[in-house]
Amino acid sequence: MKDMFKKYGVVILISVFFVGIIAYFGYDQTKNIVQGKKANGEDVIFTINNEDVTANEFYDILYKDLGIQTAYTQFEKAVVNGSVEVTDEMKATADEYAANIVSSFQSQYGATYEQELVKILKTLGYENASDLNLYMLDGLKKNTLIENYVLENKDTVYTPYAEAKKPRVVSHILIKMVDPTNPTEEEKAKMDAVNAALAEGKPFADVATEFSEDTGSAVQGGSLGFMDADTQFVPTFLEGALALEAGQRSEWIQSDYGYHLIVCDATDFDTLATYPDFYTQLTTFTPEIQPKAVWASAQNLGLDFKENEEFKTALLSYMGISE
Amino acid sequence: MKKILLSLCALLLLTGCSDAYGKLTDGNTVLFTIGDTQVTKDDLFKTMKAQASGYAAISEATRVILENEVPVTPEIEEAAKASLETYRATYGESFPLMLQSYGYADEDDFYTNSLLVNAQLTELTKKYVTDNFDQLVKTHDPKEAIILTFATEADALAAKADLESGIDGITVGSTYNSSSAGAERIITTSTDLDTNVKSFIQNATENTISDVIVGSENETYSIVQITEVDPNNLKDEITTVLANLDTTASESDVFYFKKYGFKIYDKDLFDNIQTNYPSYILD
Repeated sequence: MKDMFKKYGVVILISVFFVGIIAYFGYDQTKNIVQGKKANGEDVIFTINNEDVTANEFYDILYKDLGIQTAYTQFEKAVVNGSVEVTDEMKATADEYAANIVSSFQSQYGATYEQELVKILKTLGYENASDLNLYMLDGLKKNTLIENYVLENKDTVYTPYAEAKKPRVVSHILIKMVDPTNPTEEEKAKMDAVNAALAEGKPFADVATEFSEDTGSAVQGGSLGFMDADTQFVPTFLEGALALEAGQRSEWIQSDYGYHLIVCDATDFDTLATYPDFYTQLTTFTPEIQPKAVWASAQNLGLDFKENEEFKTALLSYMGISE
Repeated sequence: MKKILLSLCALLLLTGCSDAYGKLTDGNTVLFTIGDTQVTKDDLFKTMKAQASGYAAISEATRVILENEVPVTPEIEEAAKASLETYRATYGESFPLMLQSYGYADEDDFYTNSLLVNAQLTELTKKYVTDNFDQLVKTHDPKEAIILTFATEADALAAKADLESGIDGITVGSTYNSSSAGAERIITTSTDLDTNVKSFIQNATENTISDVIVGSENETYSIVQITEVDPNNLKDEITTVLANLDTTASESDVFYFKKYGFKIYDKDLFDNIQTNYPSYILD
């Protein structure tokens, strides 16, 4: 033994040193690792009171509260991907939305933004940060699917909404006032100038561009775009706008901002259907449009529930579809 | 030498170990296909885990703990039923709709899975306080006191004289317009009080009546009567107060999760709990 140590002492010391380094390295690398466990051949997710909850059991626990809702999300994603073709415009819009989200996450989370983004994407059924563009694209494709459904089923889905919410496209001219209950001579003169221009036969859009003091809409000929009964306008304006037929112009209407002249540009479906907000408001009024649109498209794609009638019934019930 | 080299290699391999992810035995089971897309049980499992694995695991573990520590008694059922009546009275006809919006099928579901569980958790926290009374008393230093606060020093001095003559705190408080009610209450280190008043109470070692205590931040004049410094003489009252502290419920959870050996073997679950419920990471 002594002879061996004399001969190989340095080698032995160096070996012991390296074993120590590797052992410490090994401990340091593994101390934060989540160790696995098996019970009767099944992976264990957690234990409590020496009872193992396996992956299969945990699936059943999660499925009770989240299963059908998660299945619907996957169902919808698959239908959307199978039904709607991607356009260059969609890709560009999706990329823009994704860039905005990344920028927002970077501001909020700094160096860990990607980690936070992935956490949220995983809850939506995606895997990596690079799936953000895909998520945005899927959202745009879903909108297209719903729009197509609405266009194809306008008679059944549009009429109840139109009767309840009076959707329309409107424009206005605003003369701002410090105290609308007591207009100054100058403010009255501006209203007179608008009246005179309209009486001469000038188009409303031109008069709005020239005289309206709502600078945001003035550059667009006074157009405020799509609105309905739920649009957040001041009450007198909202009431005045909803009372008009297509092509009609209101009398001067007083609001907290001053006086408005409002024109109802259109109330017909074909015009309304060119506005994205129209579909947002329509699906808010009739939430079942979305699952119905998804189900209708699914019929054309080769749908197979693998003879699992119980699952199919639960999914259809969640979607509000009765076959 | 060969054996040493082999051991070194084995140690190197060990350092390459990675986190465990619990897998389903039938994860490849296809739930449905749409065109070329298959959705499997694995797909659902991944998403559900990301959404709520922490909440689900903690709820399930809590259920096991409650089964063992706090079986349902008639008193617990009574407390849960009283809560249900309060909800019914508050929400009236919209109660069923309110329940549905929170994901409950009906009143029975709400009663069994929320109200009864909450009543059991309240008892569990009380049990934790009772079983760990001495240690919690050391941390929270509870004492019983009457605190009277006045706008003028003259009122405070007059109140002190009345207390010393044996008149009760509520009467004295009312006589001299104290801004506090004058009833005896349990004060702990968590109680929100003026610094100087709190300091007097925490330093008290016997039943006594203070001199006038001037407020630390505003012009107030307080008199404090310490009515009990020995927590063992007020065990029930102190247990109720400590059980209702914000920190006690979470301390109790961690205590029982440790007692029942809660251990995680899945990285997704670990990450979810670490992000959303970090106090339940016990290792």
